[in-house]
Amino acid sequence: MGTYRSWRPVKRWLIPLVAVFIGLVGGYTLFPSEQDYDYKQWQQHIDQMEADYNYQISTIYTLNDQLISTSETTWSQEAVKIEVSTRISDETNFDLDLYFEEDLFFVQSGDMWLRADLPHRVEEEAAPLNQPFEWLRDVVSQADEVSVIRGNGLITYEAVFDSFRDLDFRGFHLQEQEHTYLRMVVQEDGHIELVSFFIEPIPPDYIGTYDIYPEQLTWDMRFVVLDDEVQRAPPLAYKGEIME
Amino acid sequence: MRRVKGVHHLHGIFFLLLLTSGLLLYFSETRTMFNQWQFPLVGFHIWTAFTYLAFVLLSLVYVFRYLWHKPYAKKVNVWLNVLFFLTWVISGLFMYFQASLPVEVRNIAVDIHSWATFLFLPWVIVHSVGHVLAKQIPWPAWFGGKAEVPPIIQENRLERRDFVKFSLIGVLFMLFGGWMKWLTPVLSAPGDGPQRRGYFRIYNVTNDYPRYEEGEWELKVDGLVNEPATLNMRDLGILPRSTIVDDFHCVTGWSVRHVEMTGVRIQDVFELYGIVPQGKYVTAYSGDHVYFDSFRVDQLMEDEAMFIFQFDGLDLSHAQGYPCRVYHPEMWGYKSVKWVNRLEFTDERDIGYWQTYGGYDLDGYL
Repeated sequence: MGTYRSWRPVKRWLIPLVAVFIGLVGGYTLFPSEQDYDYKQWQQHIDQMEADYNYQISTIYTLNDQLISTSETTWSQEAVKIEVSTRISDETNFDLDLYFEEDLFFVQSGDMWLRADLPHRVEEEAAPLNQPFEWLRDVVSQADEVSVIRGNGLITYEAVFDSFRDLDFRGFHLQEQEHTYLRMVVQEDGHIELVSFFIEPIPPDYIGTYDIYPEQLTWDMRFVVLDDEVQRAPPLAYKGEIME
Repeated sequence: MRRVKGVHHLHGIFFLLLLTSGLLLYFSETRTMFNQWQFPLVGFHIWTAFTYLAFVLLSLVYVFRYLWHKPYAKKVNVWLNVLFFLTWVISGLFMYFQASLPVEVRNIAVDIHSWATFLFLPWVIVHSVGHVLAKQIPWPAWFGGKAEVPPIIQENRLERRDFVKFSLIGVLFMLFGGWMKWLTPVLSAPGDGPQRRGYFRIYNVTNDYPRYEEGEWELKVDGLVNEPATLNMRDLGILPRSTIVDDFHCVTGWSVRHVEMTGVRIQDVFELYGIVPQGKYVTAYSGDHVYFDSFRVDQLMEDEAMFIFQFDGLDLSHAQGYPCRVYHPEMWGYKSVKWVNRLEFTDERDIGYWQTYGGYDLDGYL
């Protein structure tokens, strides 16, 4: 008996080794990485901002360093009004107002009103202005790296993208990326200030030499909390022509 | 002893029934075959499982009393069975109450339920063959209780101190593992899960379409049925809801991928309200009073055929068929009759709207 007692393989070796193995595997599986933690904080922040306030959102869209359009959006969960101004030439802009209300939307161009039911292809064309927070959640969920920087009374979330799983942005299908990131700047009191999306894409294989594909896109959204309700479409809009 | 043997044999019979019905459900070909025979295989599996659970709970006392002084081999067998049994019960309950759980949890439960079965199969085969051929694995004699336990084994008999040691080391290394994970530069939280892609184009055959108000919609079931019935949303609402994630395909070429659809199974509706079809075919009419399509009765009685109320967790919009549309995942979108307000059972098959005017296939399988 004494000979064996000095050996005791189960008590002395097997149990500690099994405990070490289970502990390491359990800890590694159950605990988050720093990036996972930051990502969850970011998503919670987006949820909270979406739920708590209405916003005035100003956007600037550039393609290959050229200004393409600007817009002013008033956004709430119930209704969205988007005023888009697209540059046609150095001195001319094309202006368009879009209203999204529950399962209807209206377009005003000059004195003309058009209307249609949602969902409609216009939603994709207006994105991400009509659903900026849903769009943010979706884009961030495709990040390859996430980090948070705190300082100067601001929290800056940054997502870096090597490739997108599935993203269409302003009519371009984005896949592999050269240098692409999205930054969201939030004040320490929790108010969102800016979302900046900088894209340098690698053209997908199916893009031919003569096809138009951007070298660089930027999309900035500046948020201001809106105290008022979002302006609804006027009664005249409901009499507009039905849009196919 | 005789009682324990009886318990053991009943255990075997129940297990065989569950294993067989489970495997038949696992493979889509056999599952469809049973659907076509209109045999309620899912219900059979669930009710056998509940009966088995009751039987196991009642027999546990006898089994453990019998095992108290039995050798390791017997105890290991029973504990292995208990472990797998608990895995099936817990994952099975998750699957049963799937409507109130997130998609990820449901999918994990289904995987665990299936994998536990396949992992346990080798044991079942060895155990059954051993019984039938009266053969035994040549375990050491002490393991079967036929010799004294050797000192090298005896001295490793576990005590409270070993349990405490195991727990402390485990917790310590769990924290260490967590710290390692924190430092690892990986982002796994978003997962690689599929995202909704695409959007629905709204195609109607009338200029305007029904805009039912809440509580206004009714579904009439008539024609060749045992008894005509009229159901409303409250009637359908008491049934367990199912959620599927599926790609919606339109025959014109577009698809919306990964749409989460929630509704009730049509066969459940018929079962609950005692509706027994007596015709071979059924015509589903749309509330727009123009559109309709027809099915074989067995197609709508398949597990997959549903009345859908929600897309991606939101009620259908008016344009998408609020409050209810027919859906079968294996068929084109034109079979998904929106604002369905009447099911008429017939002996002759009606040729649907798009089959008449568009030349589309009658069954509309993808």
